[in-house]
Amino acid sequence: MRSLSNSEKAIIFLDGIEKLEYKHKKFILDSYNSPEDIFADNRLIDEYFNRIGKSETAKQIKLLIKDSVAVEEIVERAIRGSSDVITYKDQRYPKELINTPTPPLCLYAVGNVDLLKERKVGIVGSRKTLNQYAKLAEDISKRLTENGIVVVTGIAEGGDYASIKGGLESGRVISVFAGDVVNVYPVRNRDLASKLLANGGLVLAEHPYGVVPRNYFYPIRNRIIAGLSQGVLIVSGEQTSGARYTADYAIDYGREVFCLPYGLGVKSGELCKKLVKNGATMVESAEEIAQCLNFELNKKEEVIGLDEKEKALYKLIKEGVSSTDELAEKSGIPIYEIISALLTLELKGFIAKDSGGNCSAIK
Amino acid sequence: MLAKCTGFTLLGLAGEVVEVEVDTNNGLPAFDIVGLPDAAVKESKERVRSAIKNSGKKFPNHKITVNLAPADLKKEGAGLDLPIALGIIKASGQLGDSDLTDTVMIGELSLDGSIRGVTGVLPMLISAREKGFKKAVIPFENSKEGEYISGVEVKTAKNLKELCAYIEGVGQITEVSKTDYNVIAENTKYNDDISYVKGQYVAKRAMEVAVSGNHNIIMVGPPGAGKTMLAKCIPSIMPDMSFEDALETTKIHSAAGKLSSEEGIVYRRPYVTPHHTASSVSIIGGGTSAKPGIISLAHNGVLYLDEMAEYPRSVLESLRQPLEDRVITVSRAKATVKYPASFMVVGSMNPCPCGYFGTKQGECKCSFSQISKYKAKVSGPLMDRMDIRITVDSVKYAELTEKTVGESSEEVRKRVNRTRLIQRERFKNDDINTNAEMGERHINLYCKLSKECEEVMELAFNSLNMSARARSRIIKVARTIADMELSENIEPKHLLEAIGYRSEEI
Repeated sequence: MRSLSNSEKAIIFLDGIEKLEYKHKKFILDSYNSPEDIFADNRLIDEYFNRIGKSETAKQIKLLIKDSVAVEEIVERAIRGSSDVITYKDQRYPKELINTPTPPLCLYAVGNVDLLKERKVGIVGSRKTLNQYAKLAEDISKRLTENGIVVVTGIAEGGDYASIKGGLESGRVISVFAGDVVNVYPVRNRDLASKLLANGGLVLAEHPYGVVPRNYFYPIRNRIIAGLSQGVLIVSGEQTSGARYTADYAIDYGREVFCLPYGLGVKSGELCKKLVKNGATMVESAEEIAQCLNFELNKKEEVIGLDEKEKALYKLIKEGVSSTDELAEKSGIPIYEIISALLTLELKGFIAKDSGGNCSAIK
Repeated sequence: MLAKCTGFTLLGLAGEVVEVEVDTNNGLPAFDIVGLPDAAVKESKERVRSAIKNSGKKFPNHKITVNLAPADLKKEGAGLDLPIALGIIKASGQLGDSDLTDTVMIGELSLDGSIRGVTGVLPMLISAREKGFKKAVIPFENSKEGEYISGVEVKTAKNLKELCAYIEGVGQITEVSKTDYNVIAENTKYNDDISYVKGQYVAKRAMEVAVSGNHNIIMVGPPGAGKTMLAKCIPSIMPDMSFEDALETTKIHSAAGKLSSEEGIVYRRPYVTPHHTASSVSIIGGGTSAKPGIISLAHNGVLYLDEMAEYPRSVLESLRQPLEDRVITVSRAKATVKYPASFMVVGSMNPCPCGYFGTKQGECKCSFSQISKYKAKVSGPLMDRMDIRITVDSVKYAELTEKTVGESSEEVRKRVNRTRLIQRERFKNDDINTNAEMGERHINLYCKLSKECEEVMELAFNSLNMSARARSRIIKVARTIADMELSENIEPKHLLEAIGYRSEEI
């Protein structure tokens, strides 16, 4: 960790006061010429809180500020676990985010902060993402990241997991946590997070060390994902899914919203369908996203050939035959050959299987 | 006067000779049994007294001492009633001077003098044969168990009176006629046949692979998909039991008292399905005298764990060691017994608590954490021992009413027998019989992968997120599939099919 300037310490300190609302923090910091002045001159704090009738709060803050040892301790504790902190006054603070109405005052970071400079696309989805859609999201994330785009996402199961997995190889993924940077939630994805960091990825959080993610943090966190991205791909989501906040923020911030295509009666796709009806762009590949956002995917996809049997099965799957048993009946191919052919198709990325063993085409 | 008889008691699965010595002395009338008798043996005093009286003999009015030798062996069960009674009759001079020590006597006595059946007659007879006995008398009820023991002249008696008359040389008792095991085995009929299962081609194929290589298999599917039906058919496609296997299984069933009196030998592969409320002791074996548990009853057969995720964790974990060693050692204060437990586990579970996650016909109402909690109930190490994992979905109505009949179990069994033969041939110098039992050493020796195969493996590994432990499991299954096709080497298509029987969802 580099040594922090007094101004940064002031922001970290004020940001770390849990009971203080965001708007108060922002107002106080903005009313000083330089944030570090709050240590020298607390008249403005008094003035502000007296005006809104909260002189008690002002007293408490002043009491804290006086004790410089305590301030140091608070700052030191706040940055524990992170490798860098980017305050909203920092040059490196992403431009896309600073222009949103409520940019986080501090971004605690672990990993490669240079990723923030690059072109970013958000990919989010609910935890109940169907397998074939997760696979597609993984593919899209892979294609985007290997072409120089950075993918922004969370760390949950389903859509988030798939997009991190897709970008894991190139490491060009920013994962925004809802609590602090240390707490990986769900815990089972701890391994994934450390792999991401090892490959040169970045973990961001707006909360200082020691803040455990609570369920109401997630919608608020989603504004960072939307704010960082030029466009957001909604992989899946029910009507009430948390992904809808990301989409709403993206719309508010004037970012592009992309959705994967869903058919009739798929509960986990209701959000996507609703968004498309309201004007979101339906996409099926990384190319389509690139086209909308005006960039090129230079690295071409490898063309993989299929043999006769695989072709026949792929055709049937495209026609809507999904269970292996049915495929056996309709194609007349012996079952043991079908099992290996389906696996080849899956490995070649033509189909995906859901948890019930049913196949669907993803190309 | 002193008299000697020979009885048997069971120690685990081994019959132990018990020399019954009876001595009558002058003194106040008394009746003592010494030599570590358990409660059932102690109580035989009362049964023996009444039985002798009601068989037209006189119960001696002396001081009677019965010694069960060797004195340090714990004697169990009511099977010693008969030798004790005969010893008393002989000691009181009512049986002439015939020698009884070369005949093994097994049987419980009823108060009216008739001889009742006991458990464990078969293992006792086998031990008797090993120890060089040529003659045995067993209860009439157990006569079937004597049919398969060659080399021992087995006779059955219905009551003590009849037996005494025979010993005195004035009557006859029936001799058990020997039966040829092969005749019975060839005509084995199973109630469930795989041809009754409609549709489910993947599941049927997976079953055949599993049985061919003795791989454990787990089926995941919604309620009513036919998992139990499929599992019930497994014994019918399992390879024929050899006489040695059958005898071994019968020994356990006999010792546990689970042998039906009509059959006498277990010639069908056992299919055991403990309920998920069963305790680990009932599954593994135990009790004060270390009785065999359900997994030993499933020896050479199938242990079907329906709704696997509902079993207590401790029960499932206790299966890990026997699955590995194919034998279970039950240790209790009174005895430590080793029971064979070579069985094939067939498990079934739903994909989630409500049962419909990922299926076509229902809508899953479970939360994400509920689903992962449910799946986590079957631990990773146990799941690792499940070589084949398939998803089973409900069949469509059209398939149910389908007229065409699929392959019968008998046809499948023929193929399975052939595949097993190949494996026996391969492992003739090793201490294993089937592909599923292969360790790393065997895999390196018998499952060499070509460059092409390695490429397939690598591709699958990278894109399917498989664990390193999955590798050997896949190779073992691929070996079985190659054997089924009489292929000497594992080819890419075999590997691909084997990988197809994995499902990282569970």
